[in-house]
Amino acid sequence: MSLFDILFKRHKNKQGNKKTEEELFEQDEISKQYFTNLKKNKNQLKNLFQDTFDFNIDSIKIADQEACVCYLGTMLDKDALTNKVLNAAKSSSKQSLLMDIEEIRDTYFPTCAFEYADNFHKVVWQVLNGYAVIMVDGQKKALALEIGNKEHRAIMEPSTQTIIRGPKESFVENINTNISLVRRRIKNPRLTFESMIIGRDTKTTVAIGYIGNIMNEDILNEVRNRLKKVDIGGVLDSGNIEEFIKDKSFTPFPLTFNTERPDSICGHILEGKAAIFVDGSPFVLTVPSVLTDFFQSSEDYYQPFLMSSFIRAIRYISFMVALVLPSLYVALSTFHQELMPTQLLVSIQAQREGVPFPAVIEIFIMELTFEVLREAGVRMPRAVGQTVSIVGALVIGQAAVEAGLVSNVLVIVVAFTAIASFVSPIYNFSISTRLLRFILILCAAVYGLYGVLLFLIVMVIHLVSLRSFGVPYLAPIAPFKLEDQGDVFVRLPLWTNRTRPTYLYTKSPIKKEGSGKPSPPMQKGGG
Amino acid sequence: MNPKLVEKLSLWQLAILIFIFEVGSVAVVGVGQEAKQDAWIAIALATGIGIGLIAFYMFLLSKLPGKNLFEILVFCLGKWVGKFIGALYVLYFFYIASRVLRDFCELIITVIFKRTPIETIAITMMLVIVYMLYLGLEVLGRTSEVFIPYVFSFIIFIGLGTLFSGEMEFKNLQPILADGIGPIAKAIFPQLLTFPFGEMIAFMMIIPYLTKFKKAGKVSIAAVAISGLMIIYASVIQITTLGLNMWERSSFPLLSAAREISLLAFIERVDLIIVFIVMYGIIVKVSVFFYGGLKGIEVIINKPYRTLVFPLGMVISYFSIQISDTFAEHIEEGIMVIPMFLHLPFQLFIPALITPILIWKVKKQQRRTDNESV
Repeated sequence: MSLFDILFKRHKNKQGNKKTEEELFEQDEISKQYFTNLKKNKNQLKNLFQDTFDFNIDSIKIADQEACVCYLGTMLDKDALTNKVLNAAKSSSKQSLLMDIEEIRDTYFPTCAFEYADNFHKVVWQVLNGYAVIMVDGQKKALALEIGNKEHRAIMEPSTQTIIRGPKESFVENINTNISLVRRRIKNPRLTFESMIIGRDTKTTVAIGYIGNIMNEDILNEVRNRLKKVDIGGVLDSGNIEEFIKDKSFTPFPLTFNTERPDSICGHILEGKAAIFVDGSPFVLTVPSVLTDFFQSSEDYYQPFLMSSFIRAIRYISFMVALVLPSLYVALSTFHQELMPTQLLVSIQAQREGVPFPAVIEIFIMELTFEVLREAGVRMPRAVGQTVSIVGALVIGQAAVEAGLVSNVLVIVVAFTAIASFVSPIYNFSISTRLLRFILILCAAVYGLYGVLLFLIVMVIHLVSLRSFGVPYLAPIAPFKLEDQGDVFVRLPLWTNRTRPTYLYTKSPIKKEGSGKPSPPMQKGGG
Repeated sequence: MNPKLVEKLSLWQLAILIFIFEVGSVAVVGVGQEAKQDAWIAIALATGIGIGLIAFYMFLLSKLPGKNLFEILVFCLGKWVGKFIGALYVLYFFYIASRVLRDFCELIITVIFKRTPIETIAITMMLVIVYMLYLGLEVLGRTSEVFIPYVFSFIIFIGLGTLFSGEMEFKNLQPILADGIGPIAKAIFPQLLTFPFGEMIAFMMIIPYLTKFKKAGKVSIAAVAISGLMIIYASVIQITTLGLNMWERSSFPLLSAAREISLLAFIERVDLIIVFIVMYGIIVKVSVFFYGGLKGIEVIINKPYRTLVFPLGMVISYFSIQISDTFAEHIEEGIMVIPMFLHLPFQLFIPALITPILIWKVKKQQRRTDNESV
């Protein structure tokens, strides 16, 4: 047990809270009882929603019975509400038959999606979800009608993970739309989505998606258990969930994969992983994920395999470059001048002649400057974007060299490092190198190349000790699995890839039979 | 958690560990100087004997599956004598660990950091090893899996590099067997036999924790054979590139050989590659010995070893400095004293002594269980 666990033990959740809709509001001290008396129900609701301007209770008469429609005006389409509910109510007011709630639904709202709410919590829940709830005097149940939500952001091209060839859709904030994007691609009755509600205050819907006859049962149970244990105030993005379900918090490496590309998620689900959808977030998580996932883009599978393999090699190389290039510069120029080819050494030293700082300070200044520029570039309003790039490129890059603060080579090193760090297809993996880079520079400043090697070994030790939902993070490299190597450093042609990743222990490890190697048609008669 | 998802050391990992353990430090330090230009023959013969040795260790382990060396000692010699001999083994393992660590520190001090205090190197190295062993044997195995391609290909690269740089003189290997078999025998016994092959005794603490124990024998024999080939390869590079005279005088002959590499007017001074090979080799070697000692303590005092990793690690790094005043003294002890008075008893005599006792006791136990079952 680590120190962290001991310190934060008291925060651990005591109740094993699997939340069903009925128990949702228990901790908010809302009574659960639904009265048969309409007035009491009305008062209860009014007390709960109090001053909210968009909460409406409209009194109506249905089949000569006192009734009311309650809804949040901002959550649903008011025109549709008028058409569906109020008109129906009006037409029914002439009749004088006493009907119970089921008959009312059958007669007046036969085309609406509906749900019955037999307790007060459900009523509140449906109102919050944008349903119109009809409460009729003297009935034990309320009728919740789905009216149709307000518009969402339309499905657009992905903004963070763009590709050249392949599907251009991306996930949006609405969880139902997201799930439909996956369903449309995988037509399989075993594709299952389990939903649960997480967040004391936000009551966010979270869904686990997996294919029942592929996904390993133990890993799936682990995913379920971890999600059930999440005890958090508000869930605003899948990133909030991610922090709770990680195997280890103290690591710069992401232990869950996230993407906004439906095709990528489908690929992961088909391999035997579970996807975690969070309402309100266009980023969907998949678990368990391994290090090599972060070097793969879904486009790898849409382009010719030779090209994809080459590009993968480029990604691994640029990961190493982004990690060690600045520290190599420090180590070589401070400790091991003799390791550089003489010509290069001479030209570097000539440039460094006027620089007043040691190499470490020099590189720290420039790396920090770059980090500031990068952060400014992400957050600034679009209108002032030009200014930052001009100031960054001209003032800091060129002027710093001309003023003799840093050397030209160093600017090249920092610039190449920066570009290399953007190569990883998944953003939150590429940012993990940022932190490690600074530690490496420090190690290089203290111990030269020995320090760099030492830290890289420590990093690998840390990596192999990591697990993502029980699966070793460095699988299939360590522990080494020969069967999986066709899709790690290189991507072999798809027809050679017959098995799902063995480290996931799937229920059906064989993807397809036979080789299916394409070949030209046999010529008849020879010649 | 599902036991299926919790992995122990696999056969592949064992093979890699043995390979790095054997090759890592030996390839660089250079062995078999007594045999002069016939060192490679001596190493080849020693490899054969080494295979016999590991087969013998495997035979001992197979008598009591799942038990490590210390548990076998306790089983054979009784609680008190067994634990006493076990304690001696613990000291032996720790002493060898600190010797190996010292080798590396000297390399760094002579090659890279001429003015850095040697203690800082020992401590930083040991911190890495402590971190690794704290995380467990599994992590040691997997880390080696990550680094094996580099270690392997770098050694191959040095040979090709010196060859293409035109530095190799195969005449340096002649004359073969100029002084007969005498020098070769002298080189094998006791030096080559005990270092690196006899040191495999430390693996008697690791092999019992394999997932597939039954195949461990074949795998470890294959691994020893391949590492023997690799050591021959390295020593041929050293002798052909440096010539006999330089080779005998150099402290780190492979490093001196690698400095001769000059390709494309760009790939030169590849010291770093050598330092990396040695560094990882040393980490594995110290870890294996250190782990062996820790497991021994675990058997003796009956407590998990994790709490002891850090303090004992620091003790080892302290001793690695204190065991000898100078590098020359360190090397002399390594050649004159250690093989005779430490390696031979612990690697050969004690295991040989307990073999008859072990066979007899196992038989007795079997007979008893047979009787009970009848």
